[in-house]
Amino acid sequence: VERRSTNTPSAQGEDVHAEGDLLAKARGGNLFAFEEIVKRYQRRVYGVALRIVRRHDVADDVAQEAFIRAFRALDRFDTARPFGPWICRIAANLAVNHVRSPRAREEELPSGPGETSSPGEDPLGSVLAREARAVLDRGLASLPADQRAVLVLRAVEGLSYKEIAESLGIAQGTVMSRLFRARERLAAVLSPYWDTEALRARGEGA
Amino acid sequence: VSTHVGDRLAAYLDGELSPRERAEIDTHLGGCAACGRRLEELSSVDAAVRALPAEAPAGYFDTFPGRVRARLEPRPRRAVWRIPVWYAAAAAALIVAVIAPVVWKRSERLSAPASQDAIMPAPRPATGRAASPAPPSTAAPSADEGALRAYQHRRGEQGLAKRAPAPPSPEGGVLGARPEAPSLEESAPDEAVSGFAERPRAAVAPAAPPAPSPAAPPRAADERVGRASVAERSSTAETEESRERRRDKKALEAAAPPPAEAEAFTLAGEEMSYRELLARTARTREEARALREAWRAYLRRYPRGAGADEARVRMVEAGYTAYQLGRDPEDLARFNEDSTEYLQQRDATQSERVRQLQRAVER
Repeated sequence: VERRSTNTPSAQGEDVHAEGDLLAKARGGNLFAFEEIVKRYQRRVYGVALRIVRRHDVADDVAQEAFIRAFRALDRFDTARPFGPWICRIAANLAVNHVRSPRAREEELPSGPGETSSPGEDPLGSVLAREARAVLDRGLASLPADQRAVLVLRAVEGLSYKEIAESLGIAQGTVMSRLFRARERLAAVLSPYWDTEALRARGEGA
Repeated sequence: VSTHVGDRLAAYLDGELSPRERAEIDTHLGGCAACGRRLEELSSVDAAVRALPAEAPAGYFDTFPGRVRARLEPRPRRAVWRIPVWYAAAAAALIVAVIAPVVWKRSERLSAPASQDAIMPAPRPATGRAASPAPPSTAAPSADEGALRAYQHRRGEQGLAKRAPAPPSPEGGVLGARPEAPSLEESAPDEAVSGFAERPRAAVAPAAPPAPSPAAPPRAADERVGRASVAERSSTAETEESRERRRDKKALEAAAPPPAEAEAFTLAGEEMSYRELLARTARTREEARALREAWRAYLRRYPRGAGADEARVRMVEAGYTAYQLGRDPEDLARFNEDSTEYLQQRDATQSERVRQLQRAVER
């Protein structure tokens, strides 16, 4: 990554810009710096959005909007703190709000990312595991978005209950109960496959 | 299972327990196969969720940053403002002379619903106009002055003063000397900072004498420190600075403020809108929705104004009211979005107010 902005000679060697540095520049209106931030986090943000809204086009909207909101709120963000959790929280919040909206309900039931079976690699490996995955995917799709969001933020993004509560504007107790219900449901859905070696290995390994 | 440590297993798995609690669970797990299986199940669910691919179409991430960036660039907005200068000047003058006083009176009687005109009042005034010794809003100095005091008083009543350090002052009342939203001009980020980003609001300042302008305002980050004092500059200085800025041909971003030459007018507009909106009550869901939209429009217009914090809270409240009145999930979604956004601010000074609403909604 080349250094495009010259004000600060601080970035070390070939190392990329320190995140705080980029954010500080972005806060000053430097879109180059912000674009770099977007590049770093786009997959993660999109992933959060897609897992919650379950449609590419909507996830795209959400991810874009998340970055745009983040940019506009940068002056309220402490650039010393990690950007990742913050942007993911924004994205999750937007995603949940979208799913809750009537517009989303009018849209056809999303075919999740798991069902558009990705060519080539199958993370779960076996036929049975693939079936388990489809089942899991449907299970996820059938969860209320609120629960799905909590689960994604916890299981995928590793946010704390407190962070999840803040990002979704709910109480920590609510986070726990939603998480509980989501896991219950998915565990029930997956139970027939529970002894599948692939899934088990996956579960313990990941 | 739940008779064991079931209800704490999730918290255990999620690392949300204290060391002591953890140790307890560890001990229990050592001798309880059922809870062990349960824990395994929970973590398998998480792992399976993680393992689900979240893939985008090929090439998506190559273009994504550029698309985000394109949306942040101010250009598309230009067309809106590209109206002839003389036309804008005439329109601004007309509004100031005729419409504003009318709106003003209406708002003083606290009866009228906020019109879009009041919220989005100003087409860009003339380029050359600001150079004239009398900025538009000085047309009605006494009304402005009185309103300003009332506004500030009101702010005090509502506990806003702690956010915007602007007590009524003999200089004519510096109303929330805050920087405007940054201009997003990519080619010259530093310019952008010294331009809109750090431009403090001038007071309506009918009382400010056309004193010889003080030195050019400090620039960029230095100014963050001394906003309040910088804001005491006379309107004359403001005008000169604005002309300089105009030469730079800065594009205004969508939510960006009007050009500096309209500042005095903007301020009056801000106060009017603010007062008017404060006075509005919503008795139906539609009214509550409209009020939320009105506050939103206000915030788009005055994102850094002295009333912005209150406005954000009011927007949340209006959303809450709308939901209470109609129980429409759409209102709930908006409410959640607004309240979360409010709480995510670093300087959310009225978080408790918003949290109370959230708790009320959850019940």
